Amino acid sequence: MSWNGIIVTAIAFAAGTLSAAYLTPHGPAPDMVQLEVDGKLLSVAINEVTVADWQACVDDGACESITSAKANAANLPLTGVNWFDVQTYISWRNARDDRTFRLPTLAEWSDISGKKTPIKRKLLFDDPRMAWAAAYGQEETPRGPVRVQGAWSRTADGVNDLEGNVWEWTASCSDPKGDPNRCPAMHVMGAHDAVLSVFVRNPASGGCTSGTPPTHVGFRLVE
Amino acid sequence: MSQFLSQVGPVLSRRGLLAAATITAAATLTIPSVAEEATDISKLPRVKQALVLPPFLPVHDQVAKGGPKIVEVTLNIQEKKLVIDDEGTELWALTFHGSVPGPMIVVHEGDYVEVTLRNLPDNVMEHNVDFHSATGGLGGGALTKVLPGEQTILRWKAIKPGVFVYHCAPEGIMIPYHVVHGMNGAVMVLPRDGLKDAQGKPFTYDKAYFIGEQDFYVPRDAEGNFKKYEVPGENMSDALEVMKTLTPTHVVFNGAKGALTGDNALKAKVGETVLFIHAQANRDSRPHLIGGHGDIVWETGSFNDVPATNLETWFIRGGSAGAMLYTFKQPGIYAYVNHNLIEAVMLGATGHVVVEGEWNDDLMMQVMKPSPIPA
Repeated sequence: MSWNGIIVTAIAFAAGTLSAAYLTPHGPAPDMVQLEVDGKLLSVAINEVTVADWQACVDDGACESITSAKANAANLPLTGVNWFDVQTYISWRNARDDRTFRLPTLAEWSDISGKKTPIKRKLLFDDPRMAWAAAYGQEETPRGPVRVQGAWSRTADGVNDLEGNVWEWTASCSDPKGDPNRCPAMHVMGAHDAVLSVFVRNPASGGCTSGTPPTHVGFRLVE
Repeated sequence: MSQFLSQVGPVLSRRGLLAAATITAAATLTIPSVAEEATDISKLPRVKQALVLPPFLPVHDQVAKGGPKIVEVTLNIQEKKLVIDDEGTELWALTFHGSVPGPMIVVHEGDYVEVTLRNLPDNVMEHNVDFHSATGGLGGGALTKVLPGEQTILRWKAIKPGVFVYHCAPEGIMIPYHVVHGMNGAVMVLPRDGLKDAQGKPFTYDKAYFIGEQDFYVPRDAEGNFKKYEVPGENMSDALEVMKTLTPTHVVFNGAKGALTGDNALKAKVGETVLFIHAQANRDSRPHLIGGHGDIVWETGSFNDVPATNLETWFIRGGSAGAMLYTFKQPGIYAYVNHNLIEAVMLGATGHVVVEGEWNDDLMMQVMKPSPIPA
């Protein structure tokens, strides 16, 4: 390592502001943007993980062949994966590419999307005893089939589809004090925050007695 | 036509003749019927009823003002492409007046309904209409067959109070095909002195909603995706295969999954009495108001019968309509569902009711918020 490299690494350890990406020999991964997120520099994937990405894992024998991956075109975002599928993929990918990819936390995701205080329509009910019904009809849930990358939205930083119809798994447990590795339900982020059981691959559509669940669930990598 | 008649059965059987003889011998008819009076129809007042899109009912009096009338309605048949769920699934629907279900007609017992049925020129199929509330002529189906570009006028007398289905019934295999492609609606024939509760006391409703439940049978391709077609009727052979399984791909209210939710949710206020009319022209259903009850329920839709009271769930026989009354006691969100919950959640048979008002702790209170179980 060069003298400059040693200084950079020393500063990194001291200040704790640089992400692990800068400590690897490879530098930031392709198709990622470097953003200041939650007080540190984070490498964020421009797009959600695709069917083609998943298929590479399947071909390697590490990931299961899943229905939605077979149904959708290779360049479409991958959907129909549960928490366990995502962990399997990330382990395989990190092993193959010698990287430290992971899911963003709820806080990181919110920062990346830039929506710190979501604009809400007036609540239907003010009475705290009616809190269970107050947000009815507020959540605008994009519906319909999975669309090509960039079809939904692009932030100023160049991150695609944070507001599309594919919700993204986060590393944050529904119980903030829970251990993320032993958590029954995790936050999934998209047009609105939702919580999904770790086993669910396809959130139910259209039948909730109140509130609207995510349309599809997929994921995005950060490092 | 002949295929349908063979199912009705030969009227001139020995059994039929014997039955006819018995009635003639009895002389006294025990059920007094409005149909017995001969009316000079030419002297009756005429009113036009402006039909409205479901889930709403046309403007009407609950207690009839004045004597019997001739109520004129126009039904324009439109074959149109609809999107029936949130995945973009399309269906070439056959509709009365552009909606699934067709609009509700409201009259009183003793009124006459004069229907102008138009098969609009852009349509490709023959249509007709069978009113379950009418008498004779296969419900009117025999006398209302119209080709695209034609119209016909049928007048029928409303002799039985209740809620009744109407549907298209052209011939043979077209009967189920048209009905499960959206071609059905309902009629309400109110008693002239309005509705009465189980004790025989008259009451009025503040609002009324018509929920038409529809089972759709959409064919899938080899990959399991719903197929799309270019023109009405193109799906015929594929659709018949799905229909034969008797298992719908969609069971929806007001023509599409989610049609009565979000901005289109039904509305009410605490203290309001709401009439919910539920029609299913083809298949059984069991409506349930989550968070509420059926205070007064005419499950079979016959207003002369004493209604059931305080039901959790009621049964709508396929091929019929029923009516339920509820006075809301709590504000919030209610879900009105077909309580086969697979059909409600997975196939689309869910609507919502948003109710304003004051919460009543006496009826329900969260005594302890969800919190960790103490050690």
